[in-house]
Amino acid sequence: MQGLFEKSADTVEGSGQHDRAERRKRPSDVGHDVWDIAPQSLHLGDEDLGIVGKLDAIRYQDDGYWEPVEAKHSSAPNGGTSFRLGEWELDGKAWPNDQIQLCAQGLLLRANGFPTIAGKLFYRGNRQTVRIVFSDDLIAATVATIRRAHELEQASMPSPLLNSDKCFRCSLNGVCLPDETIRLTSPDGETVPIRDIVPSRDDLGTVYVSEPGTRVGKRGYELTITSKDGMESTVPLKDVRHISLFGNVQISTQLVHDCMESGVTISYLTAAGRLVGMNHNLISKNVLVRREQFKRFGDERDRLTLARYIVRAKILNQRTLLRRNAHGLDKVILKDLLDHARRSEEATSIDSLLGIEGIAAKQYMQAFVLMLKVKGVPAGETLMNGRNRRPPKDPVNALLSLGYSLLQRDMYAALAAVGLDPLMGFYHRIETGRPSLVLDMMEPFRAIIADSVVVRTLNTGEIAWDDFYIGQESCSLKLPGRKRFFQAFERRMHETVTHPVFGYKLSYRRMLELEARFLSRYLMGELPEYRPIVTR
Amino acid sequence: MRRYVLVSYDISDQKRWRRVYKIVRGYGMHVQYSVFLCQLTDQDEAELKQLLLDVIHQSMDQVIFARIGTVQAKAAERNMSCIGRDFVPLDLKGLVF
Repeated sequence: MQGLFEKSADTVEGSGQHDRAERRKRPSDVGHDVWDIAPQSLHLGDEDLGIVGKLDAIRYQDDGYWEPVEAKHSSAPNGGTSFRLGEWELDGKAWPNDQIQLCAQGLLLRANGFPTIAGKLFYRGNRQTVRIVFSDDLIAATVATIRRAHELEQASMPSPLLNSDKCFRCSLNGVCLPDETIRLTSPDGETVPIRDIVPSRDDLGTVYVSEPGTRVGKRGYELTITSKDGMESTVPLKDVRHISLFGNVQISTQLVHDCMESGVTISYLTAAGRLVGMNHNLISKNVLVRREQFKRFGDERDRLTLARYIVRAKILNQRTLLRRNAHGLDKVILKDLLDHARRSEEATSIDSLLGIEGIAAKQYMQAFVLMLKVKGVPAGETLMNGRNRRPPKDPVNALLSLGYSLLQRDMYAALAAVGLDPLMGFYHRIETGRPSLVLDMMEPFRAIIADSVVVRTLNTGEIAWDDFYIGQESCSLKLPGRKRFFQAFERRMHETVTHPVFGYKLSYRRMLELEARFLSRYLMGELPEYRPIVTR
Repeated sequence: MRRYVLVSYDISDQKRWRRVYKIVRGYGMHVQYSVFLCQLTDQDEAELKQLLLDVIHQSMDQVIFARIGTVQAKAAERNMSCIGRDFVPLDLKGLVF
């Protein structure tokens, strides 16, 4: 549907078998005397039927007829009784859908001038070959199926199956999200049980390269990282989801090609950690989502609705972090934040939302320092004085800025992977070169991901006062400290939490992906609303 | 879900051996001669098998896949023990260079 495709163990095995079957054909077999011996594989199409097909193999029979041969992974049915499909009766020796596929191949052969009356199905499961005669019933069923397929092609995305076992082996389950969608769309959604169909984390690694002069390349199926002094480390390419390059680091074109093909994103950041740009493959694949995005974001009401939920979620998540970690916190602040969250739900314009968000952020940032228990701060130095940036003036702000860059990078990758345009947002003002949608979507996660990593690294002493360059007007993190911060950030992204709505566990990185997916489904009109996550 | 798979091979031809070595390196950690410890999802395992099937000789070579347990449960530490030199499985959370 919509040309979406995801690989799974089954599809990989299937296409591998097809490839090998195709390669076994020698050029000479097809080149000369083609029509005396049967070709091994054939592409055929027909205007009248409106289908094209790839035939694995066709065989020439002595009686002057051609027979298509199709191999199947499964086992054949026991063949006792015949199948009823609508008004038609089909042979019981093979599954109806396989027969219809074979018959479609037969019809294609006929249309292209090869006489044919039957075909063969080979079931690898129980190594059985079944000969199927193209009966009138089978041909009628096939023609009806082709017509139905043409109708479906024009239709919108179908709703997911209810409680189907097929979801577990379907390779599109991460896109379709069957149980989640049913819960969010049906009126009595609360009662819909959520099964663990999509794995809680298929998290792969994010490679950070920050040592100046390092070269990143590939060899075979490996990623190689060669440092300036010639030391080499390798990582299997299949385990990599993202590559982040900080400052003067080289990357090879061969690797970039491979990454773009397999959907690995590459981000370029300055040595100080500001996001400069991203590489991702052509996101035009799911261009329908982008079209809807531009339409919906042109509508003032849609934009306001989304913005309200975003600001509300951001304030509530900030409140949760304070409630959990701040010592000696004035309870009034918690109550104030709750009020701001409520008011944001009723805001009548983006401008008033900006006002509410600003006030809440100011209160939150002033209380932020209550969450920190840092030892070894020299007398006369400030650990934190509200939020400041460009450049950050104290250690906490330096860490916050770096954390937000990393989060921005991850959110960007998640949105681009779903096919959304990262630059077209609904809440942040649209400016050239500003990834508004990324900034919008990361708001609820600033507190629960980035801020929480900052609090944790400082409180555990993982990053200490000595790890910073403290200048007159700015403050930045030294390289060893930065590496430890990257590791802490990765640990956080791999951590699993219970999803407040669906009740299953998933990692923070999957959560970003899930949010991006839900936003795109909302924009496509498949979900009634989009509400970002609020942790308890 | 990823699991640890111990992949070991016996290849009778130098040229094929070289190609197999290169492929498996991209899927796991080289632990000993002809022995790799890989962290594979079902899909990775299927891919690796398809790649190897293109290279190996069906009746003369052999590749063994031994599943050890899920990556999350620290199965490598629990189900495998070694004496002498130690080995540390790859940690995808710490790819910082």
